[in-house]
Amino acid sequence: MDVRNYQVSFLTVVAVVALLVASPALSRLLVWPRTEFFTELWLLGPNRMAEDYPFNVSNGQSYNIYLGLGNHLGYCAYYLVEVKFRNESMSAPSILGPVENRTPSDLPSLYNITAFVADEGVWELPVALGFSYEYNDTLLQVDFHSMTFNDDLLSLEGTSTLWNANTSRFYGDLVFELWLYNGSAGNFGYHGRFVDLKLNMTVV
Amino acid sequence: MRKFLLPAVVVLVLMLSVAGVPVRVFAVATADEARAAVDGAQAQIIACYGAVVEAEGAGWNVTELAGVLNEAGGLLSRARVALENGEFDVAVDFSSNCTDKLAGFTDRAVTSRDSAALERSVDFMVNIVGSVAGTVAVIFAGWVLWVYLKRKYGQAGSAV
Repeated sequence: MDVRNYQVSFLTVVAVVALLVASPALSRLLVWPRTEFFTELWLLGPNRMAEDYPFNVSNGQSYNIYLGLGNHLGYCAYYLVEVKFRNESMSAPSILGPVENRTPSDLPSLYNITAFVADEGVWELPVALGFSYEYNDTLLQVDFHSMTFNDDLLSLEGTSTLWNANTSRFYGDLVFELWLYNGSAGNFGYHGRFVDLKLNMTVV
Repeated sequence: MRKFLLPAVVVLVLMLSVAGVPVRVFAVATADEARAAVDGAQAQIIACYGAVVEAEGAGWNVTELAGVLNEAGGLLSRARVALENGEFDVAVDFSSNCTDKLAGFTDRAVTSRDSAALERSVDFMVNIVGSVAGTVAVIFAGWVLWVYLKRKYGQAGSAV
């Protein structure tokens, strides 16, 4: 028997065993680096689906939605969601251009939602909201009093919306703007993302 | 009768103290006190968040720690609303609850970070160093075995 006849078989066996032993190290070294870092922000209807969103809002009624975040930034993120309410003529967050150049609405925040989300983690908040408002004497304007946001009562005094004959509605827009804590700067910066719920104030 | 009044009050106070019955002292917080309480709670949340980021950087799964921070953040949000509404006592209460929720949190995060660092070190030794050393050993053993086999059986027909 000449052992050199088995050289290829021997090398194959040694290579397979070596690869098996090396696999734990290879599994850690041969990983595609992450190149996209971003945050997801979403709003879902009462059934946690992207449907049946509240639109016609009656005075004093409660409506349920879900606000969600998905963190793909590569680290545990500290988010702030600023809740704002606007009519058609009030400042809105910008939607055009690169995310980093977008600007938030100038309106003051009615409520700040805090969210800490681990990397690749998801966070979701059930929101029960309602509005207190009345029509003024002309019936062409709605004057808001307050908004309930889960267990808190937020003042909307001084906010009103006019009847829009083109769209046939009293326009209201509930905006959720996403802000991100910058650890090195020690403050929050606008993260360029928002979701909103367009509403029509109906008679009841 | 009056001579028993003072001792009776003293005994009553002592009994309440021993029984641990809380005697609430009603105080009205000012706007500045409420704002200071909210700012203090916010500062503590930021400190705790820094500890969580460190723990995560060391490889710890921080989902549970983030959950505690979310609860504390919810209380802080409500404290802010109360402050805006001029309910300063409520703002102080929510801020205190927030601070209580985070009691010992930083220590937990630091412990988690140290555990993660240790686990990562062990993981590196076993899976990287051990694996590379094992691979080298397998190749070397294969070479030695091949040389041995060649010496013993290498000469054509020298051994059967």
